[in-house]
Amino acid sequence: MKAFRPWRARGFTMMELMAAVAIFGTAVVGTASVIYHGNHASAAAHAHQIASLAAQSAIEDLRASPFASIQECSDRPLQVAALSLHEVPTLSLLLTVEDSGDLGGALKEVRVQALWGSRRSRRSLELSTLIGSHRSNDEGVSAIDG
Amino acid sequence: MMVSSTAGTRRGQRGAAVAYALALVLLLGIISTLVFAAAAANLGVARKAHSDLVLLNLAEAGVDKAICRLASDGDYAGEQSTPFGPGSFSVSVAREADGRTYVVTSTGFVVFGDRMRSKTVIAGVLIERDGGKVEARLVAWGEQ
Repeated sequence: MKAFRPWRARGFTMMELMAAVAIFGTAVVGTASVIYHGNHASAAAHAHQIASLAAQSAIEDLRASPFASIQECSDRPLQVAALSLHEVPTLSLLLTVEDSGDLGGALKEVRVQALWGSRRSRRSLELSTLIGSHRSNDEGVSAIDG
Repeated sequence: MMVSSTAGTRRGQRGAAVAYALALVLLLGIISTLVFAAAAANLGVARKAHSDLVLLNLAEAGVDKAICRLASDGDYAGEQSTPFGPGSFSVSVAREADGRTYVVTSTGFVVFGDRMRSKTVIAGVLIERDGGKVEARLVAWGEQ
């Protein structure tokens, strides 16, 4: 009778199945965790890039504006572009302008801080530069090949 | 004879379920590694891009400072390793033959990871003095 039921040889024992399910289950949970954290890290990287570009855009706006309009301030909120807010809804920008301390007020130190993230995991970055009163707008500037 | 053959097949397949599970675990391990590597690469690219912007702003800070200095002192030759924000900048100034045009080379430096990164901006600046009035104008711009 056994000779006509060779399929029995292909079966697994209960112990085998339990061990396999335990190993496979642990691996699936581990993989899901890695994928979750990987996606989280990728989203964080994307938000970092958007925040960085928004801060740079704010600095370029200041460079393009008349020097006299750049008033000294501390942590003044700046308007964030709708596109950046669409990508990172919690993004905010803070502007600090100080006199650089020399050249009789002809040079201002500008710092733009970008803040984003939840209250539990607040993230930030900062860009700073100097803007001088003598620099004219960049119209008609020829390019130097780098 | 047949019974003996079946027993042999059983012995050969003992532990097969665990072997299949381990093979799938290996596959999931590879997928996890790839996902983790991609996330780490994304984060690295974002940080490097931010570092590029930091360097550009440091170099531009050097250019603006040089222009302000040149407006008050035509013999200003530059400065080395001026600390500013998260890094520093160095500026060198060369005067052209016409005496009014200057080539300002400003390099920003910032520590990124365990090494120093830099970015250089070269600006051509025309300084015109009319009595007490000084006007500076950018005439050329390049980045390296």
